Amino acid sequence: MSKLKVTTISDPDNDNTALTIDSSGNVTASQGFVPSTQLSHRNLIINGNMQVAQRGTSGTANGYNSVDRFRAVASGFDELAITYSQDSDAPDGFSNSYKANVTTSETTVDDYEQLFIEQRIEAQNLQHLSFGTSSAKSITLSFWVKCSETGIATILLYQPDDNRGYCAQYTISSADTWEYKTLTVSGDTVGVIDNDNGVGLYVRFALAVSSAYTGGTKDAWLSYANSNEAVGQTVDVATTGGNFAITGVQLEVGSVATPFEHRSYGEELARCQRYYYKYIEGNAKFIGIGHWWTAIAIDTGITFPVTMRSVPTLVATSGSNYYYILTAGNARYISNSFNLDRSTESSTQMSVDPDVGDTAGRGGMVTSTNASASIAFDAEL
Amino acid sequence: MNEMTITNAKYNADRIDGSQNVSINATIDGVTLSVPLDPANRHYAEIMRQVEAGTLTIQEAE
Repeated sequence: MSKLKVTTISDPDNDNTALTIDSSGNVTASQGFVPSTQLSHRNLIINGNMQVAQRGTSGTANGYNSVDRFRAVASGFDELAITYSQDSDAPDGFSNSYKANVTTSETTVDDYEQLFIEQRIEAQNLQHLSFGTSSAKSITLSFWVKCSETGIATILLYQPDDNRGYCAQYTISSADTWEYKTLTVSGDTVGVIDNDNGVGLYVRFALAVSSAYTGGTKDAWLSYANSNEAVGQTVDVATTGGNFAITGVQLEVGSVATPFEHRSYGEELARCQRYYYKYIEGNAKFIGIGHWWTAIAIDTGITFPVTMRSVPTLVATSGSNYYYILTAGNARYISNSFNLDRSTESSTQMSVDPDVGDTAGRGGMVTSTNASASIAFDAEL
Repeated sequence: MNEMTITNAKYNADRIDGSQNVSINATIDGVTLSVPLDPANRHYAEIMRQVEAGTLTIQEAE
C-alpha cells in the first residue's frame, strides 16, 4: 500500500492542469472528463426506489398490484395469501420499499409452485448491452433487501426472445435487517434481445420456490429450464409466514455497482406512465369534453402525457351514477362501462351509453360523480 | 404459467364504420377491461393466444 499526496495533476506535454485536490479532498476536473460508463441514466430499472404507486399503496392480487413497474406472482399455491405494498420501511437514503407480507402461510411448496417479484424491461432500452454479439457487456444488479428468513436467495435474468436465462445467488445473512447486495453478470454472447417494444429482460427475485426450480446450473447464460430458475434457493417466505422487501434496485452496464441513481418524482412518474397511466380517481374529476354521437351514445377523448409502450387497455370502474355529462343545464348520468374506440399510443377516444338520451350533436363536460370512479390505461409488459 | 383468466369477451365496433372492430371488452382476472386490437398489448396477445388454443371465444359486436 502506498499513498500519493498531490494538489495538482497536469498533462505531461503542455502542463495543463487536469485535476486539483483541495484540503478536504474535493477533486475538480479542469479539462474534459470522459467517463468509461455513462454518468446519468445508468439505471435500467424504472421506479427502483419504489416511490411511484399509481395503482394504490397495497394490493393482494397477482400481477401489478401496488408500486409501478414491479409485479408479483404467486403461482400454483393452495392456501397462500399475501399483501403487497409500498412500504415506508426503507434503508437510509430511501423512503419506500416494495414489500410482500404473507398473511396466510402455505403448508408445503409443492411441485412448480413459486412466488416471485419481477420487473420486465422493454427490449429497445437494452440494445446497448450488445447481447448476442462478441461485444456483449457485463451488467451489475444492486439492491437493498430485507427478509424475515436467512439463507440463499436467487435472481433470475430471463431473456424471452431467445428463451435464455441466468440464475445468480445471494445470501440473506440477517433476518429482518436491510442488507445491500450486488451481483455482476457477464454479457450473453448468444441470445439476441430484439429491438422492439416487447419484453427484453425479466429481473426476477424469488421468494419461495419448489424443488423443481432449484436443482440446475447457476452463474451462466443457458437455454431456459425450470431447474435453472432458482438454483439452490433456501429462502422461503411462503411456508414460514414471512415477508420480503426490496428497494434501491438498479441494473446497469459494467462490473461495478454505482450509487443508486435517484431521479425526481416527476421524472420517475413519467417513465412509469409509459406503461401505466392513472387518469382520474374519485369524485368530481374532469374527464373530457364529450358530445352526443347519437341520441343514446357519447364520445369523449383523452391525450396521454407520454407516449405509451403500446396502445393501452382501458381500465375503468363503472356503476350506478359513477359519471355524468353536464350538458345544456342538465346532468345526464352514466352507469355503463366506457369502451375504447379509436386509440393510439398517444391518445384515445372512448365511447359510452348514458342512462338517458339527449340531442345528437350536443356537447358537454364528462365528469366523475362517485368516490369509486377510476379511469386508467395499461400498456404494461 | 401465470396465464390470465378471461371471460365475457366481446368485440366493440367502430362508431363511424360499424363493419370495423376497434376493441374487445372482457373480464380479465375479475376486472372488466376494454382491450385494443394491438398485438403489442399484453391483454390482446393473451386473448388471441387463448382463442387460438380454442379455450376462448369472442362474441361479435352488436
